[in-house]
Amino acid sequence: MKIKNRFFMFVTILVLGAVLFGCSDKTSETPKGKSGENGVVSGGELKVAIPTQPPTLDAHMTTALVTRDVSRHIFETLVAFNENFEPVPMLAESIDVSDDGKTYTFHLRKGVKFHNGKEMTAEDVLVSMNRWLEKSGSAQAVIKGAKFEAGDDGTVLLKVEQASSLILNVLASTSQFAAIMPKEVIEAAPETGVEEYIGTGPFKFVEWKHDQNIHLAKFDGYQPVDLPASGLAGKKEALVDDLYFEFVSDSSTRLAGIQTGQYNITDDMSRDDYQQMNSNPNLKMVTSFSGYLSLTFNKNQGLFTDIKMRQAVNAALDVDSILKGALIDAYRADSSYMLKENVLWFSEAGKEQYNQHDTKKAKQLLEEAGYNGEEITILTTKDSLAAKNATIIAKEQLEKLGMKIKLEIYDWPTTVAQREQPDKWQLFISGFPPVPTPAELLFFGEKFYGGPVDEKIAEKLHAINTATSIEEAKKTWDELQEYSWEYLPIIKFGDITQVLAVEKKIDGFKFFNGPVLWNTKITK
Amino acid sequence: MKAFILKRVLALLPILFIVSIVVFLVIHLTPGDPATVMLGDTATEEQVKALREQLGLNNPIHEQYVHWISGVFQGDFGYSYFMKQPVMDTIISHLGPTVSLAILAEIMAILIGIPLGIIAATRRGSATDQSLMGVALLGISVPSFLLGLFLVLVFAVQLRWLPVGGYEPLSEGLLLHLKYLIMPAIALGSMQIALTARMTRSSLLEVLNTNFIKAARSKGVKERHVIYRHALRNAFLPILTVLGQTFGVLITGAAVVETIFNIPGIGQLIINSVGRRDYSVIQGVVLFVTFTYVFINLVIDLLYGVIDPRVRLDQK
Repeated sequence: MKIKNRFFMFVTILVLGAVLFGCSDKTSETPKGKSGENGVVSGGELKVAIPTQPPTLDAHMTTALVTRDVSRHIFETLVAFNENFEPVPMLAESIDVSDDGKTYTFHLRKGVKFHNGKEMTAEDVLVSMNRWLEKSGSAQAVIKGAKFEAGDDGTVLLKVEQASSLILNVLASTSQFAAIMPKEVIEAAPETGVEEYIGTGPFKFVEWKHDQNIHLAKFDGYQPVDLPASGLAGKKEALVDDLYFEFVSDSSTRLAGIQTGQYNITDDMSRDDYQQMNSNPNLKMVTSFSGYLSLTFNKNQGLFTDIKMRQAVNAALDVDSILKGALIDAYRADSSYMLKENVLWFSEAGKEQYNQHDTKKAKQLLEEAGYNGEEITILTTKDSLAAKNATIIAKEQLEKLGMKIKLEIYDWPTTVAQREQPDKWQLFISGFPPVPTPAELLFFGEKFYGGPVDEKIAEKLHAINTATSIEEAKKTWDELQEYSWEYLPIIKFGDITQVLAVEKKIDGFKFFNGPVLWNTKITK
Repeated sequence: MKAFILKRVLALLPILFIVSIVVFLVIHLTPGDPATVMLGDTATEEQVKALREQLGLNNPIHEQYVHWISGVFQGDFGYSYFMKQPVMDTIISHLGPTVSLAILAEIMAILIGIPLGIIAATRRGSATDQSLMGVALLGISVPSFLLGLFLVLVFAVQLRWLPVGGYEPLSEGLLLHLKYLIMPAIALGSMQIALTARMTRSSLLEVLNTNFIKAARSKGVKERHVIYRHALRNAFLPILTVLGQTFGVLITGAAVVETIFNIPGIGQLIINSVGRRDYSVIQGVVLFVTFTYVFINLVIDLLYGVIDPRVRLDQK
């Protein structure tokens, strides 16, 4: 009797559960197969674990790096960076520049198809590019007032107010990039971004299971460029049928997932687990630099409007121990505002001001500035462990100097809200993402939260943007960086290493300002 | 009975109303907003301000509240900026994993906790009793994330029997469904199992000391029948209360386990939504959770009557 009763209860609950969940959405899976095409084996599914879900896949909308990492597989741009950070044509066939450098004529590639089967037209490009011009911070910084117009024979014209050697570089920006989308999609978009993700890239969007994954699939109608693959440019080919970006917020779950083969690639691995992953015979580690850790001064109001105060902090800091404490050994101590990998712009100018660790000099500067024990608020976010740890170490160092420090550590949205109010903070510690050109450096921007830019910096930046040759621009850039290390809108601490774990059976995977998953295949 | 239910449901309205005001104020007065998150870390202030204006976040807060609550009364819980779908759809799609997980954990609490409690009670004071209660104490004390990580290490990383995380809906097959949920259910349910065992034991012991049990025993009723037919039924009321209340906790408190096992449930939804300041989703989930709690309590109250005729509500 009792067994019957208990069994009955169990069955009832199971049935109840089944009824409740009968309605769970079923996903239709496309059959998977292997197809030989030009001798290249294609097939299988590639699973990439990333820590956060993108706010949107609309590349025009956001500077979020996770959007860049996913969207680049769906959308393409008129020009793209090759591995030397040189902009080369992608959806454009060729580009003519007028003699005065104020008109760019883009001849578009013929027969490029969107994922919905529609052929890309000049009109699509026009609407896409003008929307991007309006939304992109980089475009606003370098080519303010520029406009795309229709040209003859299906060409598209870019008209700029001021000639510059950097225009194509900006059009090739990797984050908040100039994605080409169908005109209809953009016209139907509400203020939070497009709702259909249709591009011309090697992968097409299939499904977004919120808080779970984004599913992309090989786009069979993709037309690759007939150039060797390099950076984000050249020949692209989807070598897997399905590409999943799995959102896995917990780093130990990502680690366990790559160890057991549940994911093929995992992004943003903890440096603490490096040894464990490196000794695994099935894994290889890919390290790259995801930006740099830095301290921003509030030059809008308060103590640090005084250059001597800024120089005092810069003189005092022992950057080595900050980096070590914040990033263990996942860093590169380097003073260049442009990462070393960006060969064109990398510069050692101003390096003697970096990592001075000179308490005597700092104390003297403090005295000259007339610092009198006023409380200094350092703002940072707990969402970045590196920034938080760096802040705690910097606090200690500055306190030794006799400064009175108060820490304010919040989650990211709160931090941004506090940062908008200049009376709430004096120092702010965070990371800056790498940018392709100096013009896109946030802290040289007009609307930078750290306060207005020095006139001399603005002048030199303008000279770089309007230089007629890259050599000339480079020379001015050296001068600018040297000056900036004295003027100090920020103090750069060092480059942050990003660690990805990749299964050894994954072939062709590259990292270029984010993962590149075309031309990537699964062997065996 | 009907009048009782109606009264309880009506009493729900002011609770939900107050909760709606509190949650709205708390969220909107917390610094940070969806525009900042949407535009990314390095967006300029100008861009953020423009989007804020477009999203109507610059309107006076009472206007925003009235706009939202009048929608709620019409069954429209708002639209998620990030999910690009109505909030109700978002909640429903995230509800499946959480309820599945909660039911599985609850089944374990019933199937493991109650028998263990009975064994302990009938062997009161013995080594079995003491070791069982010792294990139960451990079950209550060990945090779910620790147990979860331990399970992953053993069953996923070492033995490779189970996946480290993720979720497959029941529609993909019961076995696959359970494969993904069994470890999180154990991690989540260990406390429930332990609580249920302890509650069963103490409640049963209390009943076993009453006169009617003594009478039954002296009448020569078999010990098995004494326990299962007479004692257990009378001891069931407090057990049911624990089960019911913990079911509410299972539904709403699975956030940690969902994070570790990467399950896209309500817990993950609320954590992620707070992180991205997706106002309408946070408000919707909090209202939903409040409703669930009150509703489960109502069901438990009604179930009392089923088990114990003395508290039946429709008696005149």
